[in-house]
Amino acid sequence: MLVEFEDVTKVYEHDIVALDSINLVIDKGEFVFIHGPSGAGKSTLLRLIYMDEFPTRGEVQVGEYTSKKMSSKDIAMLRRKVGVVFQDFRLIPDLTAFENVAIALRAAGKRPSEITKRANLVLHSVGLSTKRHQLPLKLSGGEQQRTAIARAIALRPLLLLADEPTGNLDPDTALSIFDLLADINRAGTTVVVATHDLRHAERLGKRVVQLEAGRLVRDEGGR
Amino acid sequence: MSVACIMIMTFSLLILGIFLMATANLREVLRYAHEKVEIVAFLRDGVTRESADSLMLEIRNIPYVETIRYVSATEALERLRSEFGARSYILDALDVNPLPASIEVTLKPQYRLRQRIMSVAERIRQFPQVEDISYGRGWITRLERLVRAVAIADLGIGLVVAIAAMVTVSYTVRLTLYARREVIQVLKLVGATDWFIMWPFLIEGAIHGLVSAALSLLILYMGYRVIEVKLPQAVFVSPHLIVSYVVFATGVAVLGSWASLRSFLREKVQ
Repeated sequence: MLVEFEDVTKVYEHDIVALDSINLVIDKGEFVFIHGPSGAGKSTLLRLIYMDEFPTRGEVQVGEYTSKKMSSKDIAMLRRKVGVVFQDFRLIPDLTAFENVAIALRAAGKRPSEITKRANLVLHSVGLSTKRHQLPLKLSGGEQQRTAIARAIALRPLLLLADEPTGNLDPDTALSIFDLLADINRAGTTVVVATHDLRHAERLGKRVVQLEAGRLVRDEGGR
Repeated sequence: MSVACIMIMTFSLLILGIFLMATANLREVLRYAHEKVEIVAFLRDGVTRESADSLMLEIRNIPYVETIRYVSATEALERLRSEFGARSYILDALDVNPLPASIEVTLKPQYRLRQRIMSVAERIRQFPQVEDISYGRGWITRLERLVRAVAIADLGIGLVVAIAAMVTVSYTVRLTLYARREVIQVLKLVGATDWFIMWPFLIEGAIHGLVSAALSLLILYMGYRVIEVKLPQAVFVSPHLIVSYVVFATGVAVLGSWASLRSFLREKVQ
């Protein structure tokens, strides 16, 4: 077991219930799609995993970390083991692709020689070797998302979270991004993708966890 | 934005610097006054020289006494005559010398404090040969009160300057943080510790403090040089105080940065 939600409820301000009594277990090496319409609670579920949010009730466990007891240092350490990718890429515009990846390694206190070696390696693994010195604006949407994925896996995380990773991409590019995520999963990293588009889950034949209005209504496939 | 921040901090620190320099100079005046202070014991009429000598022996035995000198009535009149200068003929009209003999006592420098001077003077007053004593009690008290009041004002102004500097730096850092929000969010996302994110901003705050302290000291020194022409006895703030002043400015600037950073880092990545 890598991630466990134990009767988790998340209520935001003004009594908005984002998640309601969620029980969920994700094992090491799984590829899980979190599916549901907008506002179903998919992003909140991911945020609870990388502990940007904490449950109002219940407990989230990620590896050795529990939502009941997290210091700011613990959160930093957890995020070195959990890579996150967003729809809007979140790259730093005035840094090159290489520097965007290197920043994650530098923040984790890696040595300069290791940073260069590892950043080049992950950029190669996402197919961006030749574009590593380009600024994000000079890259296509797909290439920007590949850079973001390279940054997220730079520290060899146990878990990769992706929140609508292909929301801004054309269908062909989206396909290649999901293939890349599947490759990363095959290499041993657990992958959790929040999406409202189920076609890729069906194509890849992976586990689907369905959310509706904050409730888990379906959990099937994969495993 | 940094330039505006440094200017505001420099100006705030300059006000503190002016008060610190005023205090340093008042303290110097007080030190000088204490140095010059002496106790004069006026002897009763008819006290013989032998009796005065035995009194001097007793006074010499009082701890803290440094020098002791007998001034005869004749010598006192001579002094007065020389003080009168060209008008000393006025004294010729006197049939008898109206001035008493006296004993002048100075204390060791480290004991020239108001309380000590007063206690020694009171002891001397108790001797039967002594009719009256004199020392600059009134004006020393007033001067000491003034120094104390200015020192309290220093503390008050120091506090106001500290708050002003902290708020200024804190707002400047907050604006910088907003400008670099994207980078900070990414750093938080990839597992950077709070310290990793904070230290560049804390160093920036410290540099603001250092530069502002240096600039305000430079302006203060230029002002001092102008005053020194008219008032050569004026003193600049001591090296010890300069170090404290720079540490103070740097400290409040770092604290201001830290306050902004703490609240900013609590924000979510989203």
